[in-house]
Amino acid sequence: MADPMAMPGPGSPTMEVAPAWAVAAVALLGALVVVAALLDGILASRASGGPGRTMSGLARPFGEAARLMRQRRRTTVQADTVLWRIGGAGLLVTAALMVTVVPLGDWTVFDLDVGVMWFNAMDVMVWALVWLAGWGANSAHALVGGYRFLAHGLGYELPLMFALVAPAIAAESLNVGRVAAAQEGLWFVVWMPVAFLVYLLGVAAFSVWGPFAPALGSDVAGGVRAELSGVDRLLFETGRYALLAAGAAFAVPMFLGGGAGPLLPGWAWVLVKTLAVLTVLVWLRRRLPAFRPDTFMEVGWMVLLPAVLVQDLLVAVIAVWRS
Amino acid sequence: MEMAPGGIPLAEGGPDRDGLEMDVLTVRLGPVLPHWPAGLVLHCSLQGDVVGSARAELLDATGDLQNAADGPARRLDRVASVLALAGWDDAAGEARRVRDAILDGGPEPTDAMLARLRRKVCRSWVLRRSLRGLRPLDEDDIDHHGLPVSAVGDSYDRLTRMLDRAVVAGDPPGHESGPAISTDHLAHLVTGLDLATARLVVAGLDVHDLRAGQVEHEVAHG
Amino acid sequence: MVIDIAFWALGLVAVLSGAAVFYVDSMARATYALALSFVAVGLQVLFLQQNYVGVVTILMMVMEMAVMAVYMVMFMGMNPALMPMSMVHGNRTAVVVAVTTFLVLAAGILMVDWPARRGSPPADVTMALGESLMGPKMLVMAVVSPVMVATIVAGVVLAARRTRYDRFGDDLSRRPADDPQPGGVGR
Repeated sequence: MADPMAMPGPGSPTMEVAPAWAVAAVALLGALVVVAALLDGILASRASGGPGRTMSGLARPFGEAARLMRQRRRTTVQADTVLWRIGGAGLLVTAALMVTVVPLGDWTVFDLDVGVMWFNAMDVMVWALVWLAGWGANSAHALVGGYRFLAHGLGYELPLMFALVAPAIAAESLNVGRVAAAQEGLWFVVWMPVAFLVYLLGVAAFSVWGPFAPALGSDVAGGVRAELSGVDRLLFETGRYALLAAGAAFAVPMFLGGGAGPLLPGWAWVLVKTLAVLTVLVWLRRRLPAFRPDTFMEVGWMVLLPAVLVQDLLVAVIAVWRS
Repeated sequence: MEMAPGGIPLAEGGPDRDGLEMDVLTVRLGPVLPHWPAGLVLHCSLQGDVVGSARAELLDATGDLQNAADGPARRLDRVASVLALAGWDDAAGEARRVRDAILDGGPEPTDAMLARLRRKVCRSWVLRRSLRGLRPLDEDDIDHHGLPVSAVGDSYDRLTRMLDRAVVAGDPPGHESGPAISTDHLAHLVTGLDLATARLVVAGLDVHDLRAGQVEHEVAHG
Repeated sequence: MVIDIAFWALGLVAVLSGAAVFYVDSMARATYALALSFVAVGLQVLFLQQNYVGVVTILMMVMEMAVMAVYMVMFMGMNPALMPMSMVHGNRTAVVVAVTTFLVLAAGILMVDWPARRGSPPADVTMALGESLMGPKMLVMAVVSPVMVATIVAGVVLAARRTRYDRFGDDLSRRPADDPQPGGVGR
């Protein structure tokens, strides 16, 4: 039996830290979740108008968390409790597993040679988890929400996969640290903007966020989370923010040059860029109406997929020509 | 083995929209739902999330549904409902604020607020994409279903028309009191649509008055 | 030592959750028990240093099971009537076939004269595996995948009841098309 998950070979640009640092990574993810929730609270209060709303917006996420922690659990007839709980709590775990491959400057928790694929596999887990959260409650509205998410999934997942392919081709590696290192001088976002935009849409989608929130729509009483209450609901919502934050963090080594930047050390730049992407994603929710699940698949396959495939082709041609 | 786990009878199969057989689930929408005409109850037979057949009824049909609220405010309420159902909470919030300002009759210039809302809604490309082609109705359908003339077109047309008519403030009294929509016809309008679009279509109708249908028959899709 | 324990524990998870597929009484549980089994196998493959193969196994299988659950529920019953149902049928035949297959395979494992290792494994075993599997047949592999996609598309086109004449009218001039469920691009 060999040591699992061999290191990406000599000359890896990142250094794997001791496994105990995973706790720090999760704490950092938690901080990003809080920032995202605060930002969303502020934007929501500002949108509902009137002066002096910023403070109430700041308090909103904490108030909501306290309310949910005190709330009693709702039970439904013949619920499949095991699958329901797995679905509700799994999002947070998935997000934590995603950030393990994201290098913070020079350090990474899990320097996997196929880190890009790892991230992709984790975002596919969300398919199963959201559907299970919708299924488990044994409620028609929640189940409709679960199906809506899968309908979106069929539309966004392939464009997202091919968007992740572009940086990997250009860097000739699936190791996240090497993809970041390959952007010396020119960030990938500059010459693969289509892939970056599709990636951002994909992040919003697997976080069930903004235009991809019909799975949680108010027309089906909250969709997937219709019957989620108390701590379960808190975990689910935290999981969504965590996925959003993990997606934003992963965009940094993939498209935004990783820790590259003047003056500040690498880890600080990673955080700054992550926060910038996260802000854009949170703000997106204010700007866009929902993409209807029944029509989005055609958009995904007829518009996004060809666009991102052309992007991949261009990147591949440039990569061959450069080498 | 009893076919009713937890006291809930098993769903029965039935022919669906696409000519397949699918389980039928009876779900009641209303009478009290966010973004939904008050008192309207829609008994839907869902297959997946597609409304296979529907029967509408009106609770408390004798009561006077037409309250004192004037036309523009009521329309803005509908606009807010459509926007919220289309997943655009911010625009819906703005529509509600304009409505409140109109009702308050305060010093705020509601015309400018309305114009801003209208610009915002009409500029949104995604909203247009998502409402275009939803339950298009032509003149014949209007006559047949006894709908107001303003319901011609698809859901997007109906939304912009509602906004326009709200912008043209101060409808002459009595202008809008067209024929009340019968619940029988409402059920026709939502069969064959999925739950989300059915909600959008119902919210988007400029329904100011509903009346109970004479016949409470089941409306099934082809 | 720890690695050995982890490897065998994952193997146990894979086998037990595979068995659970036939033991549980709900379609969702059966589907996701199978998904768990595949995830455990994918993690085991990581221990063989085939990282790419392992992660792709997890990715594909979770996705497939998510879609398969939908199909199972769609064709065989709906959630709001979670009727417990047996996940096995043709019980006796299945048991006989399964035991026979197991015995044949186990006998094969025990009786084959496994070759001893010559040399040492290359640095990138995934690439070595890929080259030994399809190195000389790359052209065939490259041709097979478009053919497979074309087959799938053709199969769907042939199976679809509605044709372009239903959509665009007899002289193909109706715009927009008449669809029971319009798409998002407005073709």
